[in-house]
Amino acid sequence: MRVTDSMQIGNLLRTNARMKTQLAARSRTAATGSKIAAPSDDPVAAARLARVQAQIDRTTAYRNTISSVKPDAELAESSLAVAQDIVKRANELALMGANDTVNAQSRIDIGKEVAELHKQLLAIANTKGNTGYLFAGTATTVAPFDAAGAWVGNINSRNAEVAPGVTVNFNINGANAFTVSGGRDILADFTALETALNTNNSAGIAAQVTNMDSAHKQLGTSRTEAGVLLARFETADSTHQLVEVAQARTRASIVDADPVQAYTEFNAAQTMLEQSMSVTRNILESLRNNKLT
Amino acid sequence: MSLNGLFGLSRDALLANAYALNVTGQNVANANTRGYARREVQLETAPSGTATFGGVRARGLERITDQFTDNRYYNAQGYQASTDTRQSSMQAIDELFSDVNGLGLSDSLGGLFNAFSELATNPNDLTLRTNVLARTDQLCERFRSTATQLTRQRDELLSQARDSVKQINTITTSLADLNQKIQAAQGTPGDGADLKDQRDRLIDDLSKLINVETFVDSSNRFVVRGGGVTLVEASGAVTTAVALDGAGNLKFTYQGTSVASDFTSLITSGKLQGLKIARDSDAAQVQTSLDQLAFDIGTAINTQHAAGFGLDGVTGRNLFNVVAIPGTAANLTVNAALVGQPSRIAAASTAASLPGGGDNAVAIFKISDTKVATGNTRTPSEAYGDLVGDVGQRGQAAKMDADVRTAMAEQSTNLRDSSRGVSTDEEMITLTKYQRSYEAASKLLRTVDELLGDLIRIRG
Repeated sequence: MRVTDSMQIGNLLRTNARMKTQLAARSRTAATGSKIAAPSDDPVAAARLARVQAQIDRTTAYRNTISSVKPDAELAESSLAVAQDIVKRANELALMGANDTVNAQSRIDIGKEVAELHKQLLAIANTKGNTGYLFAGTATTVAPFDAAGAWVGNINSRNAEVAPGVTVNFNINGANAFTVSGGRDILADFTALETALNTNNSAGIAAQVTNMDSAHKQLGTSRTEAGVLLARFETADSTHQLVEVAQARTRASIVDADPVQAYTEFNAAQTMLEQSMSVTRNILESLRNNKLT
Repeated sequence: MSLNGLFGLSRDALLANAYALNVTGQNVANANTRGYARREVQLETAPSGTATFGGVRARGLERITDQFTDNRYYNAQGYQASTDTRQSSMQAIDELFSDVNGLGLSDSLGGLFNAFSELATNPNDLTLRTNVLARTDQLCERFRSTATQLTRQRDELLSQARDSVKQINTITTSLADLNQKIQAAQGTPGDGADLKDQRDRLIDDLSKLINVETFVDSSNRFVVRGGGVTLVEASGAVTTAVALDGAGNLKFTYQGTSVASDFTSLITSGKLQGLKIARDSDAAQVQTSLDQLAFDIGTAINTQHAAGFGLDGVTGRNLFNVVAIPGTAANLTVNAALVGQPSRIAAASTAASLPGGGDNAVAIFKISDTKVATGNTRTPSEAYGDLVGDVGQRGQAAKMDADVRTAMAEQSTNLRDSSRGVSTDEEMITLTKYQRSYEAASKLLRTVDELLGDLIRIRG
């Protein structure tokens, strides 16, 4: 084959251009640490990345949901614990008041403490968390118990998806915790106890001892529900943490370039370009000098 | 032969070698001229009647070309131009779907679903509702901007097709004109060689636009066929045009003296073919898939959203304004009734569960993992992954095709250059050869002159 000047020059230009393109690609990978800049770099990996990214987004959503609702569940659990303490104290006071040795004035004095406990219990039943009134169902903007202790909330559940296909009711049913739906209308029992103490009604006081005992159990049941809910959140979040790590690893395996390989390939490309430029220099030199004089 | 005859012989030798030196000089001067075919001097014995002492004369020159090599070169150039055009277009589309840095559609889609998930935890929170609206608007904007880029890409490709057709018409007109001039120059010593170089250069340009084939017909007329039809025959040329057919695809026509004919399907390489594939296959298919994705996601979310209740107790509102395919992605907007009205986001599934009910927001979040796309066979992220995969496959195929065609074009360029290109090394040798011949002829002339001088002196 005849080798002409334009062939030589053309080949040099094309080879150098190819080497520069290769170097640009290798330097991009080495500098960014990413082996996929566009879908065409690896179509299968790019499609996989879109799906993995969606899974990562969902895991993030689950964890955000849990972190949003968990404080209110914790608050509900601790509120119910305090409510149980109040009821327990009321039970003790009822027992004290029921004793026949206690006179009418003493019962009125005990009634005053019960009234105070009643107010505290009403405040707890109307506890407001980050997402509204805790025991109001979905009527989160209105206190579930009015000043007289009457139930004005609803029993709708508030739900959130905390794991794939796992929807949980993240609010505690206020009606079950405090009203007759759960067995006893606790606030009404407090009113009845107060009345019995103030009217020196021994039988009425004695009746409330049993009721307070039932109320304590009723609140305990709701508190257990809150505890179970918190445990579910903990378990789900722990699982999500593991999933998150696995998903991040999967994403990294798709996107991240191996630094050693990337840098080695970059160096190889740089060396090849330098060699190509050196060959170019030599050939141009020979084209310039190697003529008959 | 007399001594006087030797004068004539020397003169012829000087003239022939001077001509050869001129031709060599032209070769050296045009070593880097595109389209230039090296010349070889055709020296022959100049007969002197029946005598055996004929001198030398330059019959003319020959352009060293090879029709087969040329056609192979034009063919390779055409395919390279076609694949380069497609690759360049696909590169722009490719970048639209790069989600590595979280700037693409995937991020916006995930952001909207996550906003609904957060809203479910506190549906009465206006900040979370505003976030849902903002994310909805962001997703719409992302769909619209991607669709707009694709539309612009298709418009740009149409403009390029128009420019290319104009170029073809200019080239074919020039070729017809050149054919006429070359016809007139035939038989002259130069044989219209420079004009033929010009013609080759134009055919080279033409081959990058459309598949080209050249030949000399039985009537010795130079014919240029492009896209399977005769574009130039002797001094006549047809006119090509581009328009959009009923489906909005590129349609190429040519027109001689009769009516215009469609020759789109006969265009098998060159920029025109690359533009057709890039515009009517790649970009159009990606656009359709994007529309389908926008339609499927928009419709699924709308259906669920319309089933829920806003804080105002109203139901039946869509979240998106979704138009039918085509144009879904380009026209995707937030329902005007919800713009600036976050309280109208339907997070609750029943009026009775207002304001804290978020079951409908949960249901909308669940769409992210429900097969609502591609005929209810793929989840939104799977459908998006399919779209990204398709774009990637097209981009990769275009790149690989372009690499292969570039290598083939390089080979055919080298093959063509090898036969018709100038080697300055060779020319230097040739130059020395004719220089020495010229010097020898001068010497012969001097010798004859000296002999005659001697003769004159003897006789005088």
